[in-house]
Amino acid sequence: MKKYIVKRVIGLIPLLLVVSIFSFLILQAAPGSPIDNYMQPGMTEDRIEALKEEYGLNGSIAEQYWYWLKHVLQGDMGTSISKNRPVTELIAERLPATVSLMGASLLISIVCSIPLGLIAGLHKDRPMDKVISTITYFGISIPPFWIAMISVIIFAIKLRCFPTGGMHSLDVESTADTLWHMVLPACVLSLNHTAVYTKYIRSNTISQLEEDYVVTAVSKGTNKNIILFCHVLKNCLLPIITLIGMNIAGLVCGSFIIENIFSWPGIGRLCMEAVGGRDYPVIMGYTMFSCLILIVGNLVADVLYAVADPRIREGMGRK
Amino acid sequence: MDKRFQRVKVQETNTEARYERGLVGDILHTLKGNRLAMLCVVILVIITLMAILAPLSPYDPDAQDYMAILQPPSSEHWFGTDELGRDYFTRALYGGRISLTVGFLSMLLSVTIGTLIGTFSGYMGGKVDTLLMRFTDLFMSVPSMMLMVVINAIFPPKLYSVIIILGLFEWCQVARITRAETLALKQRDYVIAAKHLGASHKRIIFKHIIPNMSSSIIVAGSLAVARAILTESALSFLGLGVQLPKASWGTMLQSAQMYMTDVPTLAVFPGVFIMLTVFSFNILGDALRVALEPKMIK
Amino acid sequence: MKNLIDVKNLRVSYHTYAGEVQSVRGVTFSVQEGETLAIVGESGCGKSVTAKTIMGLIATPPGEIKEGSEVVLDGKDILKQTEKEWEAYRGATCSMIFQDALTSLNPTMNVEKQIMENIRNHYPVSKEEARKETLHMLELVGIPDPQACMKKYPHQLSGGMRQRVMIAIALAGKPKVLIADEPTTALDVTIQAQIIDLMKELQKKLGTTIILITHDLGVVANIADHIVVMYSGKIMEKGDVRQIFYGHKHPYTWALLKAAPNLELSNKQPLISIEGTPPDLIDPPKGCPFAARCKYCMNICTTEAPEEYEFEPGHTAACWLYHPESGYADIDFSREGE
Repeated sequence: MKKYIVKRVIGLIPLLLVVSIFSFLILQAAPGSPIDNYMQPGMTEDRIEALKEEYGLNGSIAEQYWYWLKHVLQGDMGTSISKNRPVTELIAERLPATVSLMGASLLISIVCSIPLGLIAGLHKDRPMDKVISTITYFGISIPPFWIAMISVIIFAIKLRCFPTGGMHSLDVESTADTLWHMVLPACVLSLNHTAVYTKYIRSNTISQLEEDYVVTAVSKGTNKNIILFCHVLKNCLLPIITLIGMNIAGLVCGSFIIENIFSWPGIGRLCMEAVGGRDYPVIMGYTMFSCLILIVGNLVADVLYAVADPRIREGMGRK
Repeated sequence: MDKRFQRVKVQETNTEARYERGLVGDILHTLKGNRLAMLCVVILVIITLMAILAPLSPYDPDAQDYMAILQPPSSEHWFGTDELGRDYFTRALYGGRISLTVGFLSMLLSVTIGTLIGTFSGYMGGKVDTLLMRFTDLFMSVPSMMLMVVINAIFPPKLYSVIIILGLFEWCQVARITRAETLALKQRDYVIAAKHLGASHKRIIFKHIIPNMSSSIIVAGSLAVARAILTESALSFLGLGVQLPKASWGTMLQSAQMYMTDVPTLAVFPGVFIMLTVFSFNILGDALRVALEPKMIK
Repeated sequence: MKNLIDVKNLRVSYHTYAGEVQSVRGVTFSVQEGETLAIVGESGCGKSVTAKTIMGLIATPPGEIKEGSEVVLDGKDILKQTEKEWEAYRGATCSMIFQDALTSLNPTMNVEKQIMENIRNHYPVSKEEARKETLHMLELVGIPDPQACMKKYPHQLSGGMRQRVMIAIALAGKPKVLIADEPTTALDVTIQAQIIDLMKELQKKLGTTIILITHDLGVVANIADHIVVMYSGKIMEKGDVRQIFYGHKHPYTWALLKAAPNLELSNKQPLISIEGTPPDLIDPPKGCPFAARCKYCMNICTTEAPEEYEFEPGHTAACWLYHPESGYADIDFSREGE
């Protein structure tokens, strides 16, 4: 088991490296030298040189990258230009909001998609399936930011049953209040993923029901419902774990948009603020951190899958 | 002797032919059998025609009329007017031009890149294949939308750069599909025969492999257009895609955001257009996939 | 011996994209208690569909069991059973084992649970008793170290072991009839013989009636008492093993036997095959389905379906050659073939 995890982690390192190189090159290519950000009017040449020395901006691009990477690995992602605070600190402050939003929406997706997908799969090509499948297509096709706008118009402006945005009401600090604020963004964020999972569970249910082992179970005289819950369900839901892992990238991107529409104080909002102010260190910090969430999410999914599926569990034992 | 018991030799009849229909025939047959898919084709044709024929509208999409700003829908202005008094219906038509153009061109780019990489990878096999597929997997797991945001945040986007960036981030799925198909096609007799007859690799790839994947490429293309339009609208909505004065449906939604309390219709119409277009491409792609899937038992 | 199963005029169709496929077109045969009946034929001849019908595994739609078909088991027409009765019937009265044991076993459930499921479906026993019975079944099918096998998953077993587990599952409900659908096709030759021997031995011990579906005549010769030869949804010839192997009357049976690879052939002789392909079951020929491939085809064969002729009690063939007016009734295939 340990070996397996280590192997997976090593496999994910290239992704982090590529993203970091990408972020670094973008920063290099951005208009103006990074040193401009630290310069103040009336600085002497010597002072600028000293600054360059301090920020590792002398030497080739590769050297600069190495300098930057060393700092990133030590948890130092630079200082925000506009806020004048360490990027790591800013992100750490905003991270819980993002993670809780993503977690809530993931929970909603899973809870809704499993019954929907199963029902659609069981009623293949019958009216129930057609209705669910069509809804699923809408879920995949609706732009999340648009449904966010529409839901704000309907639920927040017209019906006034949910707040338009933010995480807390003024001067209120309670979990209930936060949850209440979270309902709309989490639901909207989950919509797309619910549709993707439903579609997947549906087709998975259909193909699992056609498997030979189902025929074996039938010929043991096992009841239809028991076949569904004891045999099919597990084999059908196992791959969902992997799918969720793969979809975390989408969740990261989705939360970026949703946070901005609902003024949810997460790292996506932080990044958008930074985009406005051309605060490159923050943008890069966000990129790296999102990738980290992605990688951790993938890893958790992989490990969970391995624990749940005897075929892979066995494979690990042998290696 | 009884004639009935005379020995005869019976000719076998060939029964295979009736299952053959060809690509176009298959597509038409699918549409005939699937009413939803047919409806989607109609929707797409209407939207495309509307975008092409946009200049026939009596209004200029950029003509401002300060006497008639933020009007609700009426017989004069079907979708109402926006904050500068421009006819919103006409703007939606022109927005469709941009959205569809971006969708199609970036799909062409991503499908071209994807097909080339996928076919090459599958055809070469071995280390080249492993390396290219690792690269593709890597690309797939990158949160592409986020990187697009970063790129567009640093380099102010132009129409063509949006198309190129979308194309560059969407080819992975096409590459995986075409690679899998190439692996299968490579084993076919006619490809092996062509190889032994001394055909060059280039000829085999372009004359024998790629044309035989056309149905998969059409399916992948349809789904890629849907994804591209969706991503473009999100980027434009964030102000990081198509820039004013050019406006796609996403850009229109961005401007509508400020007025959504007072004139919610501004937010509704472009979104409905995006949704219908993307929905239609998605349905169509999946319907075709089911229909064109090789050797699918029907 | 009395008949345990009587299949009468069984007709099964599948409604597909291309049209109605008439998989089984009027099949009548009986199975005696305690015997092994083999149904042989090429793939697509309807032998599996016949077996699935007896097991109640035809999904409707797309399948359809035609009006007038009857399968009588112990005096009861099982085709008229309700879903509840089917559930009680499957596993306890009639069990089935399949060709590919790997896909036929649930990959994420261990062996013990899969066997116990069958026992507990039909007998009101405690978990402990069921476990004991499971262990006993595994011993019975000759699995070394059954205790360890209980906790294993299908992918951890070898092909032969998996098929043994399949048999254990099927027999755990103590069925009267065991239907084996190509049980040895997916196995190595040496393992094939082991599985066939095991089935023979278990039949002796438990008195189970076996219906064996196969295209492998070697297996048939080894285990079957009676044989039904099917072709494109119809029975061509039926009889006991001796009659079919040494006194076959139908040109198809003859062709099938001749096409079986034989070690006695000198290695210079080419393998013999039956020319042509079976007819299309969406639009089956009016006459004898084998007419197009038959060396002895006559005018009448293409226009009228042959009647059944009986030669000895229980030995019948559906072929126009045996019509009193044909003049070929005493045909000797072995000489004609040369």
